[in-house]
Amino acid sequence: MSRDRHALPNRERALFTKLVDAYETKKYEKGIAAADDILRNFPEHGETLAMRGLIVRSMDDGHEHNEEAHALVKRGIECHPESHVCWHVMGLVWRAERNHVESAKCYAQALRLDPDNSLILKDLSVVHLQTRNMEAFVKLRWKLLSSRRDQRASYVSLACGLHLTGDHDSAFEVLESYEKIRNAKQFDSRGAWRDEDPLMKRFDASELTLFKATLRRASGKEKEALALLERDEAKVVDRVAYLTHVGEIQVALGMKAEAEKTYWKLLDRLPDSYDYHRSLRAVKGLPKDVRDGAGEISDGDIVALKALYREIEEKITFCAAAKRLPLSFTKPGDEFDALVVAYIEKPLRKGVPSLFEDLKNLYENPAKARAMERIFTETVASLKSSGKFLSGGETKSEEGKKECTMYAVNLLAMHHGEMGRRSSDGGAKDFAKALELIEEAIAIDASCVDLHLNKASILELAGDLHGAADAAETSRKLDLADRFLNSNCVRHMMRAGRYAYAEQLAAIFARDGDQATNLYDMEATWFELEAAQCHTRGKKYGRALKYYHAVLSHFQQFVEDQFDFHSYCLRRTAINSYLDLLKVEDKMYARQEFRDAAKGAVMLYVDLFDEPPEKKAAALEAKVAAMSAADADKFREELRVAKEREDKAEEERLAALEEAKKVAAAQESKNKSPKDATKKVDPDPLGKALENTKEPLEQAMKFIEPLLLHAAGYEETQLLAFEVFLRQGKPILALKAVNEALKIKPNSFQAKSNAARLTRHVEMMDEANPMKKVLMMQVSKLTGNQTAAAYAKALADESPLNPLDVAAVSFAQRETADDDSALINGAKRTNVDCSAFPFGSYVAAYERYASVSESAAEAMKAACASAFPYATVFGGSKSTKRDGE
Amino acid sequence: MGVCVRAATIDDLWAMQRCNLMCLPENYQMKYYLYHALSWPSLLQVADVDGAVVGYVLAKLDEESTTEIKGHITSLSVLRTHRKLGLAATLMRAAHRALTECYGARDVSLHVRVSNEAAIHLYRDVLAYEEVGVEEKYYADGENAYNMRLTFDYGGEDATRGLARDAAKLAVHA
Repeated sequence: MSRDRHALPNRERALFTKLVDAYETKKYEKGIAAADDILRNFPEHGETLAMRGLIVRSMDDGHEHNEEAHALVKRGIECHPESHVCWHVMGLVWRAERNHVESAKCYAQALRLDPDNSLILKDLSVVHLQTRNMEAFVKLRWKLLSSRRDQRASYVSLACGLHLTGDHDSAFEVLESYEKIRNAKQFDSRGAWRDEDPLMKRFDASELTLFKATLRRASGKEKEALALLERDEAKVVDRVAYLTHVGEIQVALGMKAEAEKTYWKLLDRLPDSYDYHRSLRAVKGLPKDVRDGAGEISDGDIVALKALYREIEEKITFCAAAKRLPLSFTKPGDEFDALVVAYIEKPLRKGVPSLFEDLKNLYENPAKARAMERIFTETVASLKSSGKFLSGGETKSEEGKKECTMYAVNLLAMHHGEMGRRSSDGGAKDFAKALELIEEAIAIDASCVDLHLNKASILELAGDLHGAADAAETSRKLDLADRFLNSNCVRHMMRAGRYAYAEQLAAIFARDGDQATNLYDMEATWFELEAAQCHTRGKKYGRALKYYHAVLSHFQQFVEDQFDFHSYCLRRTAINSYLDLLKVEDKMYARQEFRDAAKGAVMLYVDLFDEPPEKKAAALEAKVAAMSAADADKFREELRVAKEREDKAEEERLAALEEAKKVAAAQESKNKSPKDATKKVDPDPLGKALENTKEPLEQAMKFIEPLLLHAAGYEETQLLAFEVFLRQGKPILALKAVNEALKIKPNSFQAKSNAARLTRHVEMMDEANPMKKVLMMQVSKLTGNQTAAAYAKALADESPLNPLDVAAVSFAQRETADDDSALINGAKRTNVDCSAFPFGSYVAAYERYASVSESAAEAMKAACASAFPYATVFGGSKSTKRDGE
Repeated sequence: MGVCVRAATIDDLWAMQRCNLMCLPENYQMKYYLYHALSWPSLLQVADVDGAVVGYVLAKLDEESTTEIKGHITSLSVLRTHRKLGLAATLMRAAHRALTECYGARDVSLHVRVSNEAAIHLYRDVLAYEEVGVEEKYYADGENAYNMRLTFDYGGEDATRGLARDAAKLAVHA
């Protein structure tokens, strides 16, 4: 009965086939026409309605017709609920908006109606991969294998699934049976195995061998893995992958002599892979880590290391590591000096820009740092006076002498920059020396780009953001076609707060001229992070949030990106990289750039929760009201001037962007047909809606949730989660965040400060609240039964040294005792010792104070200005000033 | 620390994208990097300084060629801070080696801006590519591209010749 009701006459049946074809070949207009044709006579034909919805959704880039699409498909299902097509289509529509959970439900329903439909089985199996529902994936793949025994992808997919559920032995058996069937030439006569690419045969066999070895190793069968690899060695085309497996297995099996041979082979191939150097040393019972600061190396080991690296130098052609690593494991003294003298000569002659970077980690050892200072200084002197290196090596011409001297002076400048960075008193003396030297080098040849780049980095280390930006600008102007110089300049301009100019510069290399969208389309997270931080410092929270959300959406896209690769990889047999992909995807939100964005966004939202824009405006009014009439006028005038300056900058920015757009448009029309002009206009370019959100904490959770998913093991994650949970009135979750943070870093002042703040929260809870007692018990374990105020004070009495810890403890004191002076006192306590804490911690602490209390920020400035005379942020006396500041 | 040129891992792709965005005007979305890495895993190479990517080459096989295996270089760049180490040549030779060893490719081609003398010198004089044509207005800004090609020689010398010489250049600190 029901079948008849949904059956179409011949004409419409043909149209329906056309409709499906049109969808598959993306001829959407044709599809819509066919659907409408059918619906004219059969307005309640469910499958047509559903297909029309799917096409509407597929045409819909801007998601504007999402609802229409859903309504159509839903109507289709209502008209024909027992059609697997309708349910399948519903699954595809959910898939289009990345809702994989709903998608899976619909596919499952479709399968109930048509259990053996291989298309639906495949679609569902991909969703299971995307959501890592591996058990369900394996079940489906078994089913697919039984119906598709003539496709290699059936075996490979199942083996992958079994591997990922931990059943490595079954996975191995599946691959073995594939090879058996394949070798027996079953199915060949039917022209099957069409998923094999004849050109890729060798490569596919290689991938399979490596995968089988991985499977054996995963189930602890290292010996079998080794036997398999040695038997099929000729099949493996990726020699490095082969040897890496073999080396690791030999190490695991304690076959030291064999492993040593393998690592020699690998070094022969990749002479400067530090991984293989480490492995070779480990196999020989020598320290894995030979860097300065990584631990004492015994005299006996040093002798053995020297012998090893002499041998490497002799046997392996052109191994830079063999020259560089002895600098690390040789103790300070005459021998070290001789090594440095020899090491720096050739790169100084060539002007290799990375020479200083190459030596940088030797500075972990203060005696080596002193030795290098002496050697670099003597080298400069010797080159100046006699044109000779300390080795006695001569420079070939007057020009050569000048150039070598310039690079040697540059090296010495970089040395002093590093000494300044590591000094225990802010480093002003070393920075002064470094700047004097870099100017000396620039005076020799002002057209040398590298020198200006280095000048910018020295100034940045010293905290002079405007000076650094100006130096970067000079380097940029020396080669306008070089995007690196442009990007570097953009970064420095952003850090100096010169956003309008930075944006103009970035637009030069952004193809559409309209850089905001182009850099967004190209997923330029580095730019967005810099821009977001720049706007945060400039108190343009809306714009900052826009950029943070851009980073979030890129990372969501990175996670989504894997979707199309599931079936692609399993079909193409790039299994080993595919397995890597899954691992990388499962840690996506733990990547540094996402964690930075999350931190910035969460702290902004938290501040917006504490001080919503309207409250800030009211506070400003109150401030003005309390002033004398003269002061109020003066203050208003200041505000007016600041606003004027800002408006002017904004005007210039927009004008420059317009100009760039015009240029780009002119280019575009000259070259190619104009792109679709329907590019969407951003309704909220300044992020006002984000800034004025009524739900800042819910917005913050958009960043916290992915962090907790992938980066729960970072202290920072737990600290950020705490800030949100406490404000949301979720003390149990806040408690968990404190405990997790303490697990990660047991002596963390920041986590302990949070314990104090949480205790205060619990103290303030209503006595009638049944949770109070339970929570009190928990927090007193953390505070040792002290009150919040007492515990916070005890923390302060421990006198933390890290400026961020000082700030955290001061915030806790302020919160537990309702005492605003705690912040000022804390800021005053800041002591300057950059040997232990990077300059960035001082800046970060300052920004923390500044976000809530001007007077605390002033106190911190006062505490730091003399130690950091170059620092823009502390208004240091030697920092580069700009007009109007 | 020294520079190691090695095959890229999936994990490296984000650093490659960043390096590309810093250095070149031709940029790609992550999905395109993933597509390269998951289609031809051994072809992508990076220059790695103790874990940090300072240069890369993004290579692929020509998908339009169904009877022969041909390679194509999609993108190559090295950070300015790591110039004068010969990294670009080393990266290219490593890609050539992977093309021949893993896939038995017949040749490899690439596009280069007609104004980019340094790159043309590298391809033509150092790596022995030949110019096989010009593509009008290949780049978004209207510039033309040279189409260059290198045919691998499996008969005589090893197609990976020159790798040792690159290593020599890397060892500038000697």
